[in-house]
Amino acid sequence: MRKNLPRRWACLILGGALLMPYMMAGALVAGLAGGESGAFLLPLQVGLYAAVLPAVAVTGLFLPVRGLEVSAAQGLLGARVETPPREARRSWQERRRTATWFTLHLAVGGVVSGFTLAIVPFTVYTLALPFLGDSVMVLGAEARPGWPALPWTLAGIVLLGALVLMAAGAGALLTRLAPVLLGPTPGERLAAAERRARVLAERNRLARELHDSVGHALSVVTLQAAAAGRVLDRDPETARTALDAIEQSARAALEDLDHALGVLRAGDPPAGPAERGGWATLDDLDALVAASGAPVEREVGDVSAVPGPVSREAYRIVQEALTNAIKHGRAPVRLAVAVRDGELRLEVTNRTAAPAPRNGTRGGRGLKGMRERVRLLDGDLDAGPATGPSPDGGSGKASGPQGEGWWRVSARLPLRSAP
Amino acid sequence: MTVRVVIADDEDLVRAGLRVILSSEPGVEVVGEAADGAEVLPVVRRERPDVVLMDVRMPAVDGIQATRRLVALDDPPKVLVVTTFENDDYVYDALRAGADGFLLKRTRPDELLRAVKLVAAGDTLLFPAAIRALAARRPPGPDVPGIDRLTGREGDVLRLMARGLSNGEIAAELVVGQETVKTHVGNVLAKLGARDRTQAVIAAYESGFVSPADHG
Repeated sequence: MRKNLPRRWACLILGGALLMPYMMAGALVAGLAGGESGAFLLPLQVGLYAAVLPAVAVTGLFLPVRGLEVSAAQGLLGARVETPPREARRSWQERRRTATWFTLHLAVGGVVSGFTLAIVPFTVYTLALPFLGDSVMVLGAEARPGWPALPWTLAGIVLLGALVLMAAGAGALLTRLAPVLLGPTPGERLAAAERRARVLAERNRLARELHDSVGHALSVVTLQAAAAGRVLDRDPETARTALDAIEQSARAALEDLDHALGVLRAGDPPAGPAERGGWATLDDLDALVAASGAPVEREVGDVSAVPGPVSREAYRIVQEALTNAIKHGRAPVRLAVAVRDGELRLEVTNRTAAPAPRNGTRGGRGLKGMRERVRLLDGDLDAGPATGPSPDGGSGKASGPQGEGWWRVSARLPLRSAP
Repeated sequence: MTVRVVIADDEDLVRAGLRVILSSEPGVEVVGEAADGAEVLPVVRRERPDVVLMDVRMPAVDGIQATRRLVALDDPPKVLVVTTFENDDYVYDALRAGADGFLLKRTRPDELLRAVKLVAAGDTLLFPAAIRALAARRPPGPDVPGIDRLTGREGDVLRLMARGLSNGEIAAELVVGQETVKTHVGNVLAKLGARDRTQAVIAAYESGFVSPADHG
């Protein structure tokens, strides 16, 4: 503890320093209200101190002080505070904790700072008393130089000792409370665990995909190449068949690899509560529609020829589009899925209450996510107002009547990426 | 003597590749194919092959179950599990189910043919290093009952089996006759209740009788 004391003291002084602006503002307000000039130089006014603490607490709810306080607790107090994850949105639970800590830090730090500012000079002064030439007045009593001043000196030293004990106690108290108030909240722990699990699930999915597709294809390539090599002279026809198989397997493997690398490069797996572990494919559309609870007219063609990676991404696109349609649009919602000309065509159409904006600015993140998926698969995505569900699943944009309108999201995904 | 082989794999291209490689070798004949574990048993009953090349993952009945069924036959063929990846937990399960060894699909043709002939001859452990690597990834298993009843010499023979030595090599190492080694191997298998060398060696690793770290 002795080793830590100077740093902890510094942390307490920091708390006092952070309290200063509040005290000064408080003094200013009190001065204006009382018609007197603000007492800037007397920060240790107990009433003012008590009055500004609520202000400290309120600002602690809103100011981004958590990072600073965590650094201070870790670096100065030496507290074992787990660095909380960076969350885009602050929860109220976290705000309350941070505000509690902030108030505590400034309140305790303010008191310790005040005493430090008062006691240290006082002690130095009492040490000097015996050596002064004349008697002086100390706190209303006369102190004569020489031996008679000794009690004053002793008192100064005792006060200094008390200050050290006080700082140590306050530092220890804050150090104990820091992990509780500054560490990750249960909600943050849960979110972090969920994020980890999602990343892990995605990684496992990719590993399995690579194992199944690329590993398998390379096995076929190896075996077929070995076979071709052995019969090249005797049986050119078999060798040729083997070479064809090699070409096809290798190409399919490259496509799968392309997809897997695309997902890896994209970084974090896309989040979503209804993600179903990222394994759902177009075969799961029925379940998806049923789970949405909304009346959806369906026209789903034969999708058995759609490769696994495309099918999974298509499922997510449909999921996203249906979610948007149900959330923002009106019934009827119509879903069309078909394979034509080597392409998978998806279309989700819904009525809109208000006239749809003409330039397709609606749909923020969801649309962006869809575009991202479609881009990875070398496809096209079109979203915008329409006259109604298009009969051919194409993207015929048209001007609808003003008032009620239709909104359509349509995507085309090539089943095989371009050579 | 011709080695008669049945290939079980759900992937046409894998079966075709294996068939071409095996058929190109004199003394090896592919007598049947199966596209699923469920089809293996009838083919084996009909053709009575010496060796079955068995894929691990197949749609209806996987290679592990199929191996178990084959091993239960009166005069079972040797089973070589064929797999894409070495560090595959299924491989170990297949070996425990009674497979005689395993092959990687990326194995070179001459090694593949050597493995098929060796396992047909039946007196060598296939790929001792790979089995050791698999065993090293496993926590020590339960005690194998018969292992403490091995004589000192039988223990020596088991250790050499684990290193992948054939009967002839073990005979040379221990300076005894090959017939003596055969007797010892027979006793080891009987005491451990093992069907073949692979099972005996796996038991030796699992019980800690032989440690994967013993030999590099």
